[in-house]
Amino acid sequence: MKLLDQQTQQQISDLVNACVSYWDLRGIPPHRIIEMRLELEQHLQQAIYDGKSLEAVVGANPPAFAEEWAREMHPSFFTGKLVLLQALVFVLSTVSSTALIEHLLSHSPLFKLTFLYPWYFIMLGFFSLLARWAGFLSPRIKTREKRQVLAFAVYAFAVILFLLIDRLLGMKLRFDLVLLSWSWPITALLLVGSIAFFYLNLWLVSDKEMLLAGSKSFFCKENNRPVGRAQTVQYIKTFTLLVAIFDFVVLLAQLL
Amino acid sequence: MDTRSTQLLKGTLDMCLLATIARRPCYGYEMVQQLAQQGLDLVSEGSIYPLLSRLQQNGYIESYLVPSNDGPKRKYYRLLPNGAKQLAQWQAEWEKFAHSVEQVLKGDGLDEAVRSTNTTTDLRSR
Repeated sequence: MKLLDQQTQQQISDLVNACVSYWDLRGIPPHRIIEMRLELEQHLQQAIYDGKSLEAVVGANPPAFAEEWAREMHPSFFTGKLVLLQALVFVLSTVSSTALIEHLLSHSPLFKLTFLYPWYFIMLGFFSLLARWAGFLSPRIKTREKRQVLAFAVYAFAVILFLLIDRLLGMKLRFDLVLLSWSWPITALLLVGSIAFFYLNLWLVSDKEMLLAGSKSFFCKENNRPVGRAQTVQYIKTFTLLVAIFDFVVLLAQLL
Repeated sequence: MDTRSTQLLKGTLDMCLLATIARRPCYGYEMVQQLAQQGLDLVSEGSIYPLLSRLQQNGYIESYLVPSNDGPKRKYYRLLPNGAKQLAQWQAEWEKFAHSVEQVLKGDGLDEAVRSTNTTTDLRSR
């Protein structure tokens, strides 16, 4: 079989990943998603070899195509909620770790949860969705860089628009507005909770990955090397990086 | 392919897919190629997959993975007994429908019906 050039391969891979991310969010079981992915990827590749466009396969509206297929798979409400658990773990970890930093740095027994937190989480969630679904633009925008730039431009535009509306309506969004406050025992409890949820989530992510890789257990090893852990490792890396960035911002704000 | 043909194909695509699979087990892209060879070009080739999923959920077809020389395994579909029954029923419905449409287009049935109605009206008026 002929090899596709890197740009076309990226177009296919981004489009397929956008569909997979959508199906995941819609609650389609992982073993079904892996089959759908396989079929779509192979079809797109073969269509390109035969001189057809990506649009000839997924139509002019790729999200509509992904939704049409998802509907026929009878998605379950609970299967897709791993994403929500991941979000909960991230929120808990970020809040509890920054609360701990604040308790230690300012020697204050009281932690104040300001409006900055929900703002950060909403913006991050929105950006994450845009970055994932930029792949739906693959049939129209050929290079990955252009798709990413467009996703970022949409994101920046939405944030600026939101801030403009806020100013125009005179709401004067205050990031230091205190929404909740609690003392250190609650922080300790939240830390324990976030660690417990993190492990639960990790177990579910790795279990899902093992299922997709066709292995029986997370601890299953092949030639003394763990198999199919790429997604789990990626999840831990991204998770740690995002919590660390927010903690760093809080630490910086405390020092300044 | 013009819009009317697209609409017609949309309404009968599940039946065409079932008939294609009934001839021999095949994978998605193969089905699209077979349909194209028979003059049925799809506007969006991927539209076969939701339909294949529906046919599978209804128990008309089943899928299985076959190792491929070109790379990862391919997902093939084959007909189940329920699918064969359903295809026979759809074929009968389609033949009846196509026959009726043909009659309308040629005006055969209508001529006879109009003639008999006119005759009855003439007799009554006498």
